[in-house]
Amino acid sequence: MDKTVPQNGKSKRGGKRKAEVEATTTAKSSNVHPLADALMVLERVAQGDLSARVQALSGDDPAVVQLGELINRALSRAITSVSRDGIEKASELLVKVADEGDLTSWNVTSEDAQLRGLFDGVGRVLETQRTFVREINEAALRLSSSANEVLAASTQHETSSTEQAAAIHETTATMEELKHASAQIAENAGSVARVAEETLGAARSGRTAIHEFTTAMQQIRSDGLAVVDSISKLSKRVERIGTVVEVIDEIADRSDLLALNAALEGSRAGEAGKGFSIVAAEMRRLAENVLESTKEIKNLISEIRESTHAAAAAAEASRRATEQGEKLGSVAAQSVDGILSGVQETSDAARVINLATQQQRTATEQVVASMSEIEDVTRQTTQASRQATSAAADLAQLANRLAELIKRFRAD
Amino acid sequence: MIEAASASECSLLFFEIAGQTFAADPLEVVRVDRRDTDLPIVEIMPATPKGTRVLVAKTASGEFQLPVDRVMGVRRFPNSSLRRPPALALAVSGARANELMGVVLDGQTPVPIMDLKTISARAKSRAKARGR
Amino acid sequence: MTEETPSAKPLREMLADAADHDSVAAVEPELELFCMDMGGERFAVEAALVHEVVRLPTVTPLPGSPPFLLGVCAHRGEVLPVVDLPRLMGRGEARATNRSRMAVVRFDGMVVALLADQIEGLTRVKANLLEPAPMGATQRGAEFLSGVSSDPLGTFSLLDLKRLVQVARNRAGGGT
Repeated sequence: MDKTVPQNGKSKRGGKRKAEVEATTTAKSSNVHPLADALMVLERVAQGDLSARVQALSGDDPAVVQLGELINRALSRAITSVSRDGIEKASELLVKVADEGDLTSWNVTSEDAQLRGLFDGVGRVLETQRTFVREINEAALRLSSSANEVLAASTQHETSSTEQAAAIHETTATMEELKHASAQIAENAGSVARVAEETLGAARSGRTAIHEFTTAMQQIRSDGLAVVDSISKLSKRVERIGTVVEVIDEIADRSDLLALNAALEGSRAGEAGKGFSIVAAEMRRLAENVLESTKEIKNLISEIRESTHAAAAAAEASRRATEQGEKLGSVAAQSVDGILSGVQETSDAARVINLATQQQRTATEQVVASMSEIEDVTRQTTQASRQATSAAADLAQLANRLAELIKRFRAD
Repeated sequence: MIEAASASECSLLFFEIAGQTFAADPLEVVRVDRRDTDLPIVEIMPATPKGTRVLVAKTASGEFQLPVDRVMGVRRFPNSSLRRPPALALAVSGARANELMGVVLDGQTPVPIMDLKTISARAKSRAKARGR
Repeated sequence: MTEETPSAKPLREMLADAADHDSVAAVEPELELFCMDMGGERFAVEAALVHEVVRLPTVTPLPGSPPFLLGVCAHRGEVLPVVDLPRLMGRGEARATNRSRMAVVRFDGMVVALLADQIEGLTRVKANLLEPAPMGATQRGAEFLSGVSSDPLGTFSLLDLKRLVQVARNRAGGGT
């Protein structure tokens, strides 16, 4: 019922008295003294309730009863004045203000000077209220828009921060991969360098071996030449022997002939030829022995010739082989030299790679560290952004609520 | 066992041609020699190429050479081991039959004894036709 | 035979006096026919003429002799001519293996060793069963045969040795 802001003191007092009165009323139920009732009504009127009327209009005291009637008449009259309309309208409008918040439709006036003053005063209050509401509306709008801007900005910032954090995280991850990769490269370069070193060592010892081999081949070749020389000398000697044997053969053959003819003569001579025949026979045996021997020698010579031929062939083959060997040796030496230079390059390259990857690894680590710091900062920023966003959201919400609240009041 | 040739013994010159053994009367052999380009050649049968010996015998008109592979030497045999050539052999061999003087039994092996004199007749007629 | 003389006789003379054989007892004639395989054919000679059958000894060829005269061999101190009969007859040749046999045949003062593939042995034949040898282009050497006959083992040709020698002698174109 009463929607205007009540004054604290009155309400308290009123409440207390009301309670007393009500207590008195209820105690006496239908036997209320008209005076008491009249007092009660006056109290109520004093309190503002113009609707109070004296109810106890019967009693012993006709003057009290008249009083009661008069009070009622006075009260009725009080509010049946013209100003009652105005007050009704005013109270209607006030109710409207209270209910609808409409601050614009106050146009109540009264012929009653006091009422007029009151109405004007209310009007001024309402005007002030209107201004107030307008300003609050504007402020609320401004606040709302600012809050939204802040929200947008901080949301944007938050998004950016999040994106940045993600980017940084990705970068960090990539850097980590890069760190791994370069560690791998460094390791590989390291093993390549090791292998190159080993190969280098092997190639060097290979070169030494080839050199020794070539020297050995040369030695064999010179030995082979000596062998060929010896064989040739041997062949010549064998040929000389052969010649000598031929001569011996010739002699033996002639001796044989001689002996045969001697035997012939012996047989012709008969008895006288006995001794002759003996000699002849012996000569024949001798010649036969010699022929046998020379035959053996000739066989030996053949065998020796075969052997020397074989030896010569072998020596020749050996010579060819050593020539071949020397050629191969020089080819191999060239190959090894090629390998050596190639390996040296590889070794150097590997070392360079190793160094580079070391440097890269350091740099990468530094980057990763920096990234880490940036990430921390970014996280903090994001955090702050989130908080800001949250606050802005709250603010916006409040602004909205304010705007909503103010909307209830129509200032224009 | 070299003894003088007694009346009950004879001497024979043994030689070999192409693996076959022959004999001849040593008195008919002038000498044993090496192949000679000058003398006419008469063959009993072809000697192997590596034979270097010849029996040199005499003809009315000179000497001729008989190529042989090997001359074994003069051997003595008891006369009891001499045989005439078998009649059939002589009968069927025709003109060449006369060149077989006889046969000597060297154990169980008959060895033909060639008649160099008769053979020498061939030299006279054929020496000019053959040339080596 | 020979006696001690102060000087050795020329060989020719000695050969002229040489014996034909060691003292050998006269062999007993056979009365039947003697069969042998020569060059794949069955031949027979009068058993009386066959002196002996021996394994083939060393045969020394004689240079300048016809092909059917394989050479000479020593037999009981005799030097015998060894004849390849089929070759003589132009009917092939006897196969001289280590199984070969030699039939020593005597007639008319002549001794011949016939090379046989295989010796069969004695067989009897009635003289009146002898038939003349068939003549013809395929039957060469028919002139050497007395005839043909047969026995339980088959047909055979009877050799006329005399004729054989005669023909051989004539062919050689000369005689002793």
